[in-house]
Amino acid sequence: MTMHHIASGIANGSNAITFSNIPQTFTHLQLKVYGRSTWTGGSSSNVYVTVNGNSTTTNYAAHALYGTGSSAAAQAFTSSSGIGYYVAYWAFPTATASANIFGSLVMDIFDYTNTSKNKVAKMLYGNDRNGSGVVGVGSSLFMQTGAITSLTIGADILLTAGSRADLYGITSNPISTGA
Amino acid sequence: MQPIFSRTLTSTNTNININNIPQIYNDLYLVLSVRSSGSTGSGSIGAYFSGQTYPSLASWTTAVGNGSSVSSSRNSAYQNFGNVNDTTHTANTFSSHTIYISDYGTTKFKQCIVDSVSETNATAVQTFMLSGLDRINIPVTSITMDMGGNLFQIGSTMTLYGISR
Repeated sequence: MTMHHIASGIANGSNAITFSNIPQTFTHLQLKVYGRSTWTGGSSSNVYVTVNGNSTTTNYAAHALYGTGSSAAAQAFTSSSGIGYYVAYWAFPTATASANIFGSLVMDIFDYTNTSKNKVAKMLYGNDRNGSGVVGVGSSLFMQTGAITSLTIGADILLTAGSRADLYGITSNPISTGA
Repeated sequence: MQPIFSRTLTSTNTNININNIPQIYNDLYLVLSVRSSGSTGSGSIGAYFSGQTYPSLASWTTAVGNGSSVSSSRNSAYQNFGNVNDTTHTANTFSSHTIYISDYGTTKFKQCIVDSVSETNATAVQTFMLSGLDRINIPVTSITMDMGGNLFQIGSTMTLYGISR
């Protein structure tokens, strides 16, 4: 088995979920978030992931390709947008959605311990709200080359109670090289 | 999910070969973190299965977001594993790709799905989904990847996993 559970976090409506002291023994990270936002200002919420506690706005960029069921569009945030975290654009339902409707986000961060690479997150996410919804592929860039040791997950306002996040480490020790 | 092959480049390469792929799994899952020596901002990874380089055998359909608009296209040539970061993009930033190849060990045509992102600190970025068809009816025993005449840069990584049902 090459995918190892590292930690899980549960939201209670008043906290962000933080994974700290992430082991440096894997090759890749996969973050899975099942959640919903407490925001009431719209139907979909962004999901935000802060890397290493670093919220310097000029360190981040993000992009998305998404569909709403009736149209498709693209979205971009550069360092001048002032975001300060990874962004999964319109990934989760908000408090305006019917009860018990949550969204899903799967985020891959390759080579998270490599100190020569900026850290890129690749995401697949969606929230179907029974009559409306969003599906998207996204990416985010953290323009720092240090290893990732912590991730903090939030949303517009906060993740509601019942939201959860699970972090996995993926190894790459091969059984044969074949090179 | 079992790692089959893993490599980190310590020198630049024109192509990457993964040979002798075990035929004991159902599907293959390839993870790439790569950067190209190109300077167009729009290069991609070309791939061939089992040494079959005949252009007419491969085709693909894409959906692409470029930060401000979306598009979809079809093409036929070598198999496409997604657009890559190159020298026009933010330094030290490598594109991320995952490629899922179903039923690779059968005599069916080979179907693959690709999602990739080539992040950079600018509006125009390729967020890329692809469905690819390679009309070869032999098992995938090797995968050859190239950058269309450009070089895979040092630090590029590739890991191939086998998946059993």
